[in-house]
Amino acid sequence: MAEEKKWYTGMFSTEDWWSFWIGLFFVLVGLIAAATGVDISGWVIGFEKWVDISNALQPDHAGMMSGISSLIVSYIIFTIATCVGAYFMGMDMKKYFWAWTIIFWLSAIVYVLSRHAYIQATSIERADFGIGWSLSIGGAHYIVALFVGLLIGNLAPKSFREFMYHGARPEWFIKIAIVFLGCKLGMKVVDSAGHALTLLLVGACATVAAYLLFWPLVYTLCRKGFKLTREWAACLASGISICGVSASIATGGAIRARPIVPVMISSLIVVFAVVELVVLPPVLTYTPWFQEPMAAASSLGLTVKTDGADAASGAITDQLMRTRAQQELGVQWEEGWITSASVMTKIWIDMFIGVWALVLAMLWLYYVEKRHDEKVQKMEVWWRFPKFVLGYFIAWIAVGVLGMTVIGGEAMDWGIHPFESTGRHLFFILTFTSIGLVTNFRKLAEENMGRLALAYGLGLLLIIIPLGWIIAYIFHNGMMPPTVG
Amino acid sequence: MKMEGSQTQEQTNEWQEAQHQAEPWEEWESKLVKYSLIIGVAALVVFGALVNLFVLP
Repeated sequence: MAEEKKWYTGMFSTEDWWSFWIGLFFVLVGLIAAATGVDISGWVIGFEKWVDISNALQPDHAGMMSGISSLIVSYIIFTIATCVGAYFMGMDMKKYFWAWTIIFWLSAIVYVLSRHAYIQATSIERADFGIGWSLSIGGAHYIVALFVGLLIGNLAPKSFREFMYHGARPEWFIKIAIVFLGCKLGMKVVDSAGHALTLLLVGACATVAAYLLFWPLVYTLCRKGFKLTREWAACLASGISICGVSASIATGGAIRARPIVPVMISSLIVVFAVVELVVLPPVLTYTPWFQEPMAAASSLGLTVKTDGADAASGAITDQLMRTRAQQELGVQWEEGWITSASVMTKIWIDMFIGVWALVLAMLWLYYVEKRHDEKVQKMEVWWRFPKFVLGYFIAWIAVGVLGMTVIGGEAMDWGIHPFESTGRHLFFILTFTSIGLVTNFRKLAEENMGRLALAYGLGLLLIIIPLGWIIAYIFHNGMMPPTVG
Repeated sequence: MKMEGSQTQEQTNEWQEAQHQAEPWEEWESKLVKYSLIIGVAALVVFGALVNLFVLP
């Protein structure tokens, strides 16, 4: 069987490749828009915070069309794109189409409702919305989408749940989002001149050290302490050490773990990230970490394991610390630097997805599955390499290089932002809804899932958070946000 | 075609299969852990020193 494989085998039939094709297709659309100035990318639907629901929907390029038109156009275009992929992957088209449609509109409704200003407005934004209080839960839409998905996935009639599996493809959706994430890295390269360069440099150094310590310690804890199998231990170690859901899925792809492994671990990651999001910002603000705001923010990038929760916890910490600084020290720190420190570290951690996936693919190939008399083909490394990671690197390099040379940063941001940010968030919420739909609580309650949750929780408490704090301090001590004026 | 109707059963099977007994710890795992930790500690010391000497001041 293996002898018949060519380098291009699976190029039009696997989920991995279809994440690559769909992700890069839209990146190309963004690049063409950036290069020509023709607005072919601004239609992507953005979900804004609102008190008046007529402001809840906006196309990425405001004014291009109405919000509702943008939502319908986004639905049509992303439906066509994913249906093409589904067709070539041999799915049942009719069932995929209807299940996808339900997931898309359900996610859109959840997104709109969860963006209400009373739920998500920060303390600084309250005045803009004319409200006196808000819960300030950034990223609440992901939590609600997960919750709604879980409700349906566990309580709906069995026939409906089984039907929804045809469109609930969390791994596929997150892989497309990861290709879009590559654009974000490219834009950071374009924007990194000046103060951000220092942050970029120390963030990179912190990440290299952190990752190479996190992963082996958590892997050992899982294997020796909790007696988990290699596939569970590797996916869990990657999920808790790198960037959560994406890393767990990339690792699962690299070591050819059963699909259920990264999906189950993703559920844990999301739940723990929500807890961290609530607990860590006040802990950092009202402890001696307040004296080291940039180090504290960087530690969030190392310890909070989803992009959304990390950015949200960085934003909350930013607000809490600036408020305390103004009240107690009489200084006004510039907004956004504390958030940037948390996001910057996270970006470097995101880069490790590809590197580590390749390392693990090779280890699994040469050590786990190696047959005694059979020489492992070198092409196996290519076949096993997660192709969406390739898309992520291509997007990153294309946006970074073109943004710094022929296109320019401003034009690049205009053209690529609809996918780099707005489209990525849309695919994130589709992922969270889908994770909920395919996650069965009866399975979560089983003995092994409890063991996994305990392994994850202890790994986080005993390894990731303490080490993350030490490393963040070593690489960011003494850094302060610039003051206003 | 057969995958559509049997996805739940397929996932149940996957879950059961995924709960195999842990494989014994092997030598290559020791090496992976050992070398990752050595490189990680070295990176922490070297990068930490460089950053604190040349970047943070």
